[in-house]
Amino acid sequence: MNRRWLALALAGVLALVSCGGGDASVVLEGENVTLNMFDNRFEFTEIRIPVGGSVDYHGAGRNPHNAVASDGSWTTEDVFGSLEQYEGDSAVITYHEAGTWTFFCTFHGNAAGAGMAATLIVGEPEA
Amino acid sequence: MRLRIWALAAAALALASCAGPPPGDASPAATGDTTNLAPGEWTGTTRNVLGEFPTIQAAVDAAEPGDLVLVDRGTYRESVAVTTPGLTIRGVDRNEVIIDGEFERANGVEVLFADGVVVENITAMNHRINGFFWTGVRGYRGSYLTAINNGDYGIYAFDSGDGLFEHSYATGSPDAAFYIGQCNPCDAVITDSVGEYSGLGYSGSNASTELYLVNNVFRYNGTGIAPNSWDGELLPPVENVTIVGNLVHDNGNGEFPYKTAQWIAQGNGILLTGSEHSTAARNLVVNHPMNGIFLHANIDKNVWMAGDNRVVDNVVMGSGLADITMAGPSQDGNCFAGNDYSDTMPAMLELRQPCDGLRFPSSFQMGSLTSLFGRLVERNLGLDTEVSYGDMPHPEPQPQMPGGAGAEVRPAVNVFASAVPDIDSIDVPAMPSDLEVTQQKGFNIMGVTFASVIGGLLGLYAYVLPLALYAAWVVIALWEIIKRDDLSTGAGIGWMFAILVIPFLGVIAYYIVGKSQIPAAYRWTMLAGGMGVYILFLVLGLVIGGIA
Repeated sequence: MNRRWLALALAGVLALVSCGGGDASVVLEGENVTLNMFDNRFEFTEIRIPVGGSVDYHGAGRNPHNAVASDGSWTTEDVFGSLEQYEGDSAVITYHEAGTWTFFCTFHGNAAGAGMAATLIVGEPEA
Repeated sequence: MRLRIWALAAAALALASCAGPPPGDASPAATGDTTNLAPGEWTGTTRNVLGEFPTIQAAVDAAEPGDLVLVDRGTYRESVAVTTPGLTIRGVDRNEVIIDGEFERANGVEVLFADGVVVENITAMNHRINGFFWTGVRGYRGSYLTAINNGDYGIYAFDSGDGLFEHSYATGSPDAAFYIGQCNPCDAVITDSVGEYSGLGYSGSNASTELYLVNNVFRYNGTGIAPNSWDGELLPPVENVTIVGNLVHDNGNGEFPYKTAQWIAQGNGILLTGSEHSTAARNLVVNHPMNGIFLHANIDKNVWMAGDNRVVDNVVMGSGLADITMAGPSQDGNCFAGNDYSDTMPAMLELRQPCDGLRFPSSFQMGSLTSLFGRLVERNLGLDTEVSYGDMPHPEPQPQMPGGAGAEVRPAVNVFASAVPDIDSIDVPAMPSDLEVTQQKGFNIMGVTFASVIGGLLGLYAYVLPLALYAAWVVIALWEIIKRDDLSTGAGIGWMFAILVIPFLGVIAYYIVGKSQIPAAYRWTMLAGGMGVYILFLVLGLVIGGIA
């Protein structure tokens, strides 16, 4: 029986040290934010940053992912060098102009905003 | 008792303090909404590729819902995206209609939020991501498909419901040959198919309920079959998966492409990873370096523990560690009965945890987990051997779809209802004439194996050592109490009682406050020195393993 309780304790410790947690909100807001790309969705479906702010598109799944604006104006490939970001890979994009974009993962979503897709709002949202 | 309370508190705190899966919603199609936007019948229109359209994509773009896209022989260097519901994309020859990604393009065929799409009698190979991929759909079917050396999955349905993969073959995918993920109820069947030379033959993360894997062959992968719970996708835990009548052999023997999780899990036939209420029955499981059937927890953001699973009537032989292994921590309710096996870990699982009658409290062992941990450390230190998914062998020509180009056209509407198998009629597969038991029993100490050398060392120092230390502390303390003249009989019995009843803390308390006559230097060397080595290895393992 000792082993069982020791195991439970060990599991608890392992879980504690590995616990990352998550936000219950679907909106990510800040100046310089990190957006996890899970399998197969973005952690938040709406991201708001000020002009001059940045988004760190961070691979957090077992599958490769990317983020590409539906209008083609920006892509994580531009800064990361590949469309395939695996777990731990980061692509930081700084946005110097206001605007609103739908963006998607080319592997698991589409430009119409279906599937692995989200909205980025830089500056004040358009009326 | 304090240790138990601390242990429970730690586990509870860990579970409570970890948020659940990150925000987002699974699609209605994957959670039981039966709305299917595809027409139930063929429109009667055929779009001929090569004859009428130069590419498959051109034909798909021109097609109306419910059309047939008929693809002539040839190698198509394209990636096909489907957003029109109810299409049937059919090759006239399974082995000679080839969509070749040339290791440049992402997916062979990707069906994005288009219900009822069928893909059949086609080969997809050399894609950087997936061979055939459905996502966000209600109604899908892949029949007589061949997927070769695709960089993620061979044949893959995600966030979708009501599906069937049948008479298909997939090889050379680092994640899994076949994958169904994030659905509950999945309403899906994989049958009469072969998955080999991949990280996993079948993977099903958070794919639950009305999900059947029957009459398939999974061989030469890292691991054969692996339904699993984890926090990276929605809808955990995995539950109510039915695995019956499959031939699972020689996984973990030889080369296979893999990712980290697949490297860690290698060498097992059927894994039930954090699975609940699932059934593995009448499977033939042969030749695995680790375990034939292995139930264990997945320690992710949450600790997903296996519980209420049934492992019954399987034939398991040729396992390096044990034919059936129950690793902890686990929930209650896992049961084992009617299996044909040579050993279990812990021993006598069927006697202790039968499916009927008196069942002892959940019993499990921990040593077998150390190999998983050791593999993780190996991977993070770069000690594993990279295998490219493009290097896996191509198969012999695969069987053609009956009827070929002229077969009945059936959009994927209400697929599951007609595909759900009669489980009771499925027997254990016959042993193939060319399959022999070749896997020898490996050496282990309390479940700690040396299949992974680092795993073995971690197991010795982080698992066996503390137990050995504890045993030594107890024996020495009891012997000293018996020999001591300065203790009254009552005090001596009191200390014995504390040492024997209160795990770890009782004996530690004796050495610290029990006025032990062992010189202090020896006592502290025994207590702190041993535990120091244990903690050092544990911390090193956690850090290098990337867990801490």
